[in-house]
Amino acid sequence: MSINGIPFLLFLAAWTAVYYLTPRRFQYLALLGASVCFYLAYSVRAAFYLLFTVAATYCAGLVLGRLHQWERTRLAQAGADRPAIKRQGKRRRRLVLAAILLLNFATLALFKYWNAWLGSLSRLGQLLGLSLQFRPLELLLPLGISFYTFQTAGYLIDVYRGKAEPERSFLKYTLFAAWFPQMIQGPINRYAELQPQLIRGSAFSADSLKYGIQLILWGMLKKVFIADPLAGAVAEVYGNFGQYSGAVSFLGAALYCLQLYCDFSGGVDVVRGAARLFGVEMAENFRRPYFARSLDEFWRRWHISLGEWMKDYLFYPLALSAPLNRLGRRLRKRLGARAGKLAVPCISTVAVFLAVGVWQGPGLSNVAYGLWNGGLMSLSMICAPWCLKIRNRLGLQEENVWFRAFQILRTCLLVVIGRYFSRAGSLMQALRMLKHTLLHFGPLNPGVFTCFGLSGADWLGLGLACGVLLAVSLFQEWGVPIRKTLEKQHWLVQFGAAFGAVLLLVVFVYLNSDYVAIEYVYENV
Amino acid sequence: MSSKKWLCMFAAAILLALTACAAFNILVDPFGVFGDPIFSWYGYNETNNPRVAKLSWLKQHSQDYDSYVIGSSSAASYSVEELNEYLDARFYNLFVYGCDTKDYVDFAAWLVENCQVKNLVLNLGLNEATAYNIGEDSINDRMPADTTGRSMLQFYLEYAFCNPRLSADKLSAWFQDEELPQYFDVFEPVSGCYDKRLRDIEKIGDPDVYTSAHGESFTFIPGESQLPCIQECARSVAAIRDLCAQNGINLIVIASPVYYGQWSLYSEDALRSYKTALAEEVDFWDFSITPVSYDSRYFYDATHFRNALGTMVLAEIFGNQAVYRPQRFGTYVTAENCQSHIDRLFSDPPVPSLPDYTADVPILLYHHVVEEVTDGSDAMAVSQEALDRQLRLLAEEGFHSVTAQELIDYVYHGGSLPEKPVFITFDDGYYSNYSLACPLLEKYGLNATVFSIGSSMGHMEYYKDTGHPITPHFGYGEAREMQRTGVIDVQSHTYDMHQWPAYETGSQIRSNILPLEGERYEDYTAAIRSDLETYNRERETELGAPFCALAYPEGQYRDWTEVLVHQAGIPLTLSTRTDSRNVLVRGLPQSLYALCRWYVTENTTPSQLRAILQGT
Repeated sequence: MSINGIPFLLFLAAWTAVYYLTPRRFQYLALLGASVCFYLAYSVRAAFYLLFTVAATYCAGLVLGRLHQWERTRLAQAGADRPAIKRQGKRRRRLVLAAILLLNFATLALFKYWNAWLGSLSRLGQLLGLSLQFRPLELLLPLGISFYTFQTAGYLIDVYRGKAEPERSFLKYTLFAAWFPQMIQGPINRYAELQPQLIRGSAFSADSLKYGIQLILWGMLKKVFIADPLAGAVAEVYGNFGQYSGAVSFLGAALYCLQLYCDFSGGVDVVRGAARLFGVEMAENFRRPYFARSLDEFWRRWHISLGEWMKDYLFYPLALSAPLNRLGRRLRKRLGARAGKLAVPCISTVAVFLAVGVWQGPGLSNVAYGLWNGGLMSLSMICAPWCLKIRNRLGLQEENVWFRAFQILRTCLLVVIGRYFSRAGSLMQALRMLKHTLLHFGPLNPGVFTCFGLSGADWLGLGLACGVLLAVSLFQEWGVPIRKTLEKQHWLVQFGAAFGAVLLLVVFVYLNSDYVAIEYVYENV
Repeated sequence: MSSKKWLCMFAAAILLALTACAAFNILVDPFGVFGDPIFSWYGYNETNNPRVAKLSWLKQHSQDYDSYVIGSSSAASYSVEELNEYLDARFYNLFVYGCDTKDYVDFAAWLVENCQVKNLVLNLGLNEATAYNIGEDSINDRMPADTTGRSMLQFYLEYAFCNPRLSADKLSAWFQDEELPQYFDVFEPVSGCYDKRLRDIEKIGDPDVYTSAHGESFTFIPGESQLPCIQECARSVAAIRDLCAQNGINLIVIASPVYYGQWSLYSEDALRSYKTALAEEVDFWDFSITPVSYDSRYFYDATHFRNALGTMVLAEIFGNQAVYRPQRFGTYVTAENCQSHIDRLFSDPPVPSLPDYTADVPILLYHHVVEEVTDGSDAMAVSQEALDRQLRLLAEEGFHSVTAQELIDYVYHGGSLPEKPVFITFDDGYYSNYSLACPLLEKYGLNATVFSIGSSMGHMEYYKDTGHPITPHFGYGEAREMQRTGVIDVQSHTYDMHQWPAYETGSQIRSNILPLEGERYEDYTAAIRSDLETYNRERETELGAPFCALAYPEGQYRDWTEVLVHQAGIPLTLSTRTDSRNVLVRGLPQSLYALCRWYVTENTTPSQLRAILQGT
């Protein structure tokens, strides 16, 4: 069920009605019903895979809770050897956590990477002169497997750390893990933030409905009028970059950045809007990333929920781990204080971005994408003092408009280069495209735009849509509350905006028999 | 504004947006479902969906018709004007592309219920036996709900809420529309036929040229395919037969001409079964395999025969002897003679012989003739001596000169041409054609055709009334004399569309027949018609008959010109192109269009002349 289609909108409308007609203490059951129906509509088989993960993590959560309880009981006993009990408790919890995380991520790897790895092994065998034939597994990739795997893993780590109480109701836990809006695009929600909203229910709120509808409309407009038209052009450039100049290759990568942003953030807007219809506020996932002044800031604005997850559940555990700390101390002794201090965050950063790259999909190009980002951010940490010196010597103020513009452009450039890796079919293709860009940059012939399958009217529409997106983003960046500002306008202006948005969608999507819905880039990753 | 109000406003916005889209679609009506209230542009609507739009047209104009053609797109080649003449009726061609025989029954039932029906012509090809009830998947293929019994409300809602782009396309096309058909406007609404004015000016003749232009459309690998829907087709035909019998309607069933390549796809058993099943239900005219089936030039593509062939079919059915038909063209098949007809078709197929219906005619082009060529002579002028030499060569090599009328008779009426025909032409109408060329032609027993400029005829000294000296042009007195002897025929080189710019004073100078820069089709039409009528008026007065051949000044023309000239009833036109042989094909008027001509000058050597004559 495409989240832009009429069936999904009718599904939402029907379950919203059911939700608000249900007594508040049972409302979570309505949400669970909606989630189950949504997932079953996707695939009954995949629903069993989901149920397996839910059941396993639910049980693991209960076991971890029991272990906490055991530790607390033992510690409360008189004359207890507190350090020994704590050590024992921690060891047991860690064992349970490691086992369940291994199972969880192994399941994810099996579905997402297994066949790709088999293919890689076969190719490697060919290179070595071996005939390795593997039969790929015929697996249906469960919808939202990455999102629910990360979300349940976060829950388990929170329970392990004692930050969250384990959920004892299986139905309520299932709702948390299988909450339908997050299944398509994420974001990855935190148990502590999402679960109370899902369980407590909410009274009918026109504000929530209005905000939800506005978010859905905005997300759809971004997807339909920017991301979708660009998809063909981007595919053309990445598929046939050799036929164009290097400048066109670069333009293709830049357009991919725009496409991906509008696709991903548009999808997240739709699902956040859908959640909002039920009074549920999901985590914000994008904050105008292309206004970031550094790569580090970009990743604090892009796919925020993943970044936060990685920070809390991978970066800090790594950075604070005993082996890395030992390494840091050792380097401090041998290479000096600064090197020792930087080594741990640099290694952790590279590790985190490797994980981000792998999260995107199998293949060395994604590994390279992770290394590119992690490497650059580590490098910026290392070079930060020298950069500061140069900046001071040049007298560049932090708030200087031109310096800010330079920083934004520099960040965008680095992001665009990174996208050579994340969009290309393979590492070799990405490197060839990059090489082509550098060696055959050439002029950007305007005639090339006609080769992208877009007519003049399409480009005009795209330009207008991008103009609106830029204006809205700029206002948001300057702190202007767009929705509140619009609410203060005359009702005719508000009506015009709503009517315009609806009319655009009706004309170009819902009544347009030629409209081909393009799958979200991160749908079902 | 409160959130509740905003939600109400949002609901209103959705309703308004849907209403606006529906209103737009209903008013612009790209399918003619709602009667096309603003544009009444059925040529466009029928192109989008002929099923719906044609019935919509008939609902508004049923009183104009009393007879109908039913069939798929190949039935488009039957002229309603010819049918009207043969049957003294008012025909509408209700053919629909992609139709199957279930649709035919639905159409017939609807016609009987809603219109006066005297005659029904049912056209059946091979496709009718390959598919049945193929569905109405697309909005372009839907049958009107009142023919199928589907919900009318659902039908109208589908079209009211169709893709608004279709309406926008119609608006956009409206601004691009011109008199001649374009891809979005291929129907002629009054007759229901395709508007083939542009398609039918395609110059046809040289088989090599035709094959290179259309070869892919006629490529078939013979097979043993079956015709899976023979029984359904026969049942449909029986239903239409019964309907006609019950309502006193004259039913004519035609098995339409089939290109041999398509015929060869099917097994003999399947083809025999098809013909037998049809004959068991109804008597029909069978034109499926005739001598023309073996020549792709009679077909637009493998499944669509040319209008010219449609004319031949109707002439055969209604016994019009004036129209050319080859031997063994069409059989009236009944249950009694069906087996013998089929047996003969397979045991003795009517494979034609090229010389029976095609003729290669080289055309020579001369201008001025002088006694002696000097340095100051016109480059195209030929001396009396050279002309003598060249004409002698023609005579010695056994060539026989022909007239324009003979060429026309050959193509239209199956007339004969002599062995080694050659068409000798002189352009502009110089007096020297009368004084010098005519005696030489007479000497060798040859004839020629002079294409004279009407406005220059009889001007011996000056260009029109300008006082500018010109080469003398003969007048109607000389023309009469030459016509009488039969040595020289005078045809048109336009009346005044070969102006000499240096001597003209107006702002719109026509040195040839091409449209002026930026000239609109309507103005161009008026200019051409006026010119042709003026020439004809003078010629009819002076020589007693209108002209039948037009040589384009400077050899130049474009599609508009060809459309207008042939619409004016001039069957033969000549250019100065030399890119193909002039192969005349009996029954194909297009083989007389824009014929190629080869310049013969003072310096043309005998071997060059032989090469022209032999088409090498």
